[in-house]
Amino acid sequence: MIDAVVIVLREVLEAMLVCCVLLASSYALGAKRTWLLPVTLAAVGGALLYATNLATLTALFDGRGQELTNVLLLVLTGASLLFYLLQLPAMLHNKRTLGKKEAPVTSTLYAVLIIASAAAMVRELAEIFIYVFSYGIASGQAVPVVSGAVIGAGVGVSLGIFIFFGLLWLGKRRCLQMSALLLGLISAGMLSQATRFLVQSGFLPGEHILWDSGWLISESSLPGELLHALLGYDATPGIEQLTVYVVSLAFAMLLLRKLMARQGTDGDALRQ
Amino acid sequence: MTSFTTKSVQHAVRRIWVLALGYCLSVILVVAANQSSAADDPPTITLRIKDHLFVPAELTVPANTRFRLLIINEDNTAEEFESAALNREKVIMGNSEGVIFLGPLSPGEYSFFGEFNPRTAQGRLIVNGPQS
Repeated sequence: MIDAVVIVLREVLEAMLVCCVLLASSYALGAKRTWLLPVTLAAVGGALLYATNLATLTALFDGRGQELTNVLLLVLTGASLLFYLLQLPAMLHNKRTLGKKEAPVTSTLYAVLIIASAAAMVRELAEIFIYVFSYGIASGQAVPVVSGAVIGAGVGVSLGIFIFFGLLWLGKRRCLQMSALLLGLISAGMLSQATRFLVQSGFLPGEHILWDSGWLISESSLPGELLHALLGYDATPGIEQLTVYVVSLAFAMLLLRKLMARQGTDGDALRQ
Repeated sequence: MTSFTTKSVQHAVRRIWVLALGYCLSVILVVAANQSSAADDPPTITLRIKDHLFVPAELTVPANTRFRLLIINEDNTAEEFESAALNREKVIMGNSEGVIFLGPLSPGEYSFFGEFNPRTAQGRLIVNGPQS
C-alpha cells in the first residue's frame, strides 16, 4: 500500500503544482473560477483516452507514439505557461486604463489557463488510471492499490491547497510575482522533460550526459520528486535538455522582470 | 520603463511565434541530420517482463554503442519501466511491447526497475568495455 501511496502522490504532485500555482495567480488577477470545470472535463476525458488507447498509441510511429504524445502534452503546457507570463503585464495595464476594481481577464487568458492545466493533468491522471485499473485491479490487488491511491491523492491535493493558500497569503502583488517565478521554473522543467522524451525515442542523439547527481539527490527520493516537479530536476541530464532548460528559463525570467517593471510603474498594481 | 500597449503585446506575440517556429525548425534540422547519419538501424536488445519480474534481470551491452531496448510485457497487467541512472521512463501495457533508445553509454552499472513493483521488479544494465 505504501508503494501505491508514493506512486500516486508523485503523479498528483506534478499536476497539482501547475494547477494550484495557476489558480493562485489567476485569482490574484481577479479571474473567475469558471475555467475549473472545462479543465476538469478536458483532463479526465483526455486521461481516459490516453490510458485506454496507450498500447495502440505506443505502437505508432515505429514504437515512438507514447513519447511523441508526451512531448506534445509537455510542450503544450510549457508554451502556454510562458504565454501566460507574457500576457500578465498587459492584464495589469488593462486594469489601470479601464479603472476597474479587478483586472479584466480576456478570453485568451482563460483559454491559456485551460490548455496549460489540462495538458499538465492528462499524462499524470492517465498514469494513475493505468496504475489503478490496468495494474492494481487487473492483478487482484484492488484493496491495497485503491486505498493507497486514495491516500496518495489526498496528500497531493492537500499539498496543492497548502501551496494555493500559501501564495495568496503573500498578498496579491507578491503572489503574482512568486507564482510567475514558479510558473517560469515549471515551464522550463516541462520543456526540458519534452526534450528528454525526444532523446528516449531516438529523435535526438543524447550522447552527452553532463553529470550524475544521483548520489546527492536521488530522483526517486521525496526531495528529488519535489525538485523534479518544481524545477524539472534530473539526476543525469543530457546536453540537449540543459540547453532547452536554460533558454526557456532565461526567457521566463525576462518576462518576470517585465511584470515587475509593470507593477513598479503602476502605483496600485494589485497592491494589497 | 517600457509602456505596454496592445501594439507592443501584438509585437511580442509575433516574436513568440518566431521563437516557437525557430525551436521547431532547429529540432527538425537536428533530427534530420541525426536520422541521415544513423541510417543503419542500431542493434536491438530484448528485455521481458514476466510475473512482475524482469527477464533477464541482468543485461550486458558494449560501451559507447547506441542500441534499442525492446521491452516485451508478457503479463496481463501494465508496468512502467523506469531508470533514474539511464534517465528513461515508459509505460508498457499488459501483453504489449515498447521501444526506447539508449546509449552510447560509458562503462558501468545502471539499475532499472518496474515502477508498479519497485521492490521485486529490479534489474541492472551492465556496460562493458574500454573508456572512450
